[in-house]
Amino acid sequence: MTPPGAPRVRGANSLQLRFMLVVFATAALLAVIAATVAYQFAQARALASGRSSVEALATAVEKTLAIGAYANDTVLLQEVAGGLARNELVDGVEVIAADGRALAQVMRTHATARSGATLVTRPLVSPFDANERLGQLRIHLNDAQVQADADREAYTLAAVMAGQAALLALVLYLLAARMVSRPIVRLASAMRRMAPGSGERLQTPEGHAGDEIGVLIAGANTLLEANERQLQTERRLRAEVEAMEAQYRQIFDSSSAGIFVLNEGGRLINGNPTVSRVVGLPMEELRTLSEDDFISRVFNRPELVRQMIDEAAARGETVSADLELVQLGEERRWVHCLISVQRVDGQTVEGVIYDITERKSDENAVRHRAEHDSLTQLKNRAAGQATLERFVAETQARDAALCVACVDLDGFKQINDTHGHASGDEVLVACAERMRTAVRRSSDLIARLGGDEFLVALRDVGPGDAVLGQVMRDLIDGLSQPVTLSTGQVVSVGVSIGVACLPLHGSEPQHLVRVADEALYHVKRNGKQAFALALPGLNPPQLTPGLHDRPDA
Amino acid sequence: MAPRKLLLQLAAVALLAGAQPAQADFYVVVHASNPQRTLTQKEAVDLFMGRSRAFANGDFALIFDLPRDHPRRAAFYQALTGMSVAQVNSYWSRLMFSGQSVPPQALPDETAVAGILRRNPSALGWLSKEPTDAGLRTVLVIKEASAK
Repeated sequence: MTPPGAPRVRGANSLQLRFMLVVFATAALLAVIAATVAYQFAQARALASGRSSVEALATAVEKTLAIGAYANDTVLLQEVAGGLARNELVDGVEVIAADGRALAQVMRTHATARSGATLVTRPLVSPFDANERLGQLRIHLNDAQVQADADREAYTLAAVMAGQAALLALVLYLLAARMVSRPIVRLASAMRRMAPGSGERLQTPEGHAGDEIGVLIAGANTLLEANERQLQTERRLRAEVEAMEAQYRQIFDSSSAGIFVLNEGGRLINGNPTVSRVVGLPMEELRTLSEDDFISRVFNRPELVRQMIDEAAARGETVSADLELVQLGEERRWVHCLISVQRVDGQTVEGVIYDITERKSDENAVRHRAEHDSLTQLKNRAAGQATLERFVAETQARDAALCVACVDLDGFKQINDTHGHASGDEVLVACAERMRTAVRRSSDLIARLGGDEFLVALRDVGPGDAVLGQVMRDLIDGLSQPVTLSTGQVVSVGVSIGVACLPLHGSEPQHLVRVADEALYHVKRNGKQAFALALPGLNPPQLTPGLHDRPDA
Repeated sequence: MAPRKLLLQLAAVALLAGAQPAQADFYVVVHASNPQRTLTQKEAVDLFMGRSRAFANGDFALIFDLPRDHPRRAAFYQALTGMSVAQVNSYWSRLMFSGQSVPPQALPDETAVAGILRRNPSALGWLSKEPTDAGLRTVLVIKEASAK
């Protein structure tokens, strides 16, 4: 029935088995009911029939017995009674005369004691006078036999009924198996064997074209066809989508721009190889970044990126800025970054980055050249003044202190004249280096105002601070050290410094410089190699000789 | 009174029956010396059908009948018992089966019956004509049943 290898529905799951069980259970129930009813019916009928056959016997012999009784012929009566009693349904026969005399009596030996037996009685009437009663025929029924006969008959009928039900169930089962179950099993195994989209169709078995099985198969075939069409459509669509995806992937992968997608928490969802190249992290490491914060791992100032994201989300448009990346080696790296926020299924951040380090360093170089003295790499006059202005504004805003010192080299002109400009330049470079060493803090300002004039600004240093004197002495000591020229000659210069303080000497940058300058000239006039602090509140300042100090060292 | 009614009946039957033999009565007859004066029809039936073998005084009764093929016998039994001759024959066959009862002895004709009755005081028989002989006594007259 089922091809080998194909799984079959077995056990309680089998429709056929369940049907069979239901049919047989029903049949058994019906058989029990039918047998019970049949038994009752047959027993009642058999009892009645036993009785009525005895009645019929009685009717048959009644006349003869009446004649015998009339003629007082006991031999005849005995003969007839004996004949009656030979019937197995009869236990005994008595013929009683009208006066109570027993004219004839035949009793089975075993049944004599029976008193409750059913009696069939017939009055015996004279054959010549219907009004003359001659006596009575009494037939004792063999109740046990009648009952046994009835039972036998009832059993037979019940068995026939039960057998009929069983036979009907069997026939039903076989028919159902043949007409319903087997075609369905075949259909199921045929469907199981079929490969989706193979174009196979189910065959309608012979004789099932017009019935439910046929309809089922036609329906299944229609479904198969629809399925196949859908499958083909889906395959085509998938191929299209795949091609499109490949194109996009190609664009995504080969783009010169780094493209990345972040989730709400700033973790990397996807990024193209260019991101890895621009950021300077291998692709593998980038992928592991999905568990980390991409923004703070990659950007030097993550707060700017977050600000951009918030702005992009708020304005609903792309926000762009030049951002510096986290420094990995010597070089500082810059990217131009475009951020847009998509609000689909939560918030995703799309970022595009271009490497602009080269452009940025070009810019920096230009700016550096513009702001710095090309010889000493110190800030030039303009940048120095601008920085001082910024320092002053900042210091005032913080209500802090600032010291401005004008530094002038003594004897530089002679070196220039004696050894040439190249040697002068060497001295200036050496002096710049020594000033950097003395000032120490890179946040402070050292600018070359021109020639051998320098400007130093110390932040958060007031006139009474020990560090002021310390730095001034270091400046004087450092600058006073001899300088060995590239020619091997040793030269030395002297130094004079004038100091003005904010807010002690004023709040204008130019004013402070002028005050410091005046203090410087005071030092120059009074012997050099010293520094002087301008006197407060005097314009023009009166220089205090007590402040004309020679360094201890 | 009785003879007058009888005559009327006879006349009526004769008129109705036409060519049919005239309806007649049957006479149950005994010897003149028999103490039995009359018989009821039932007593006559009991005697002729073998139930009883004695007269009222207990004397044995010897019953005589006419042959089976006698033309009047069927009418007699019809009138006496209301049974057809076949039924009567069937009755006797059943009783004869046991051998206990025997039907009345048949004599060739009514003359023979009358002769026996005249000679034997215990005899009882039937005649289709009223006996005129003084040695005989009619104990019962049975009217013939109407022809069917």
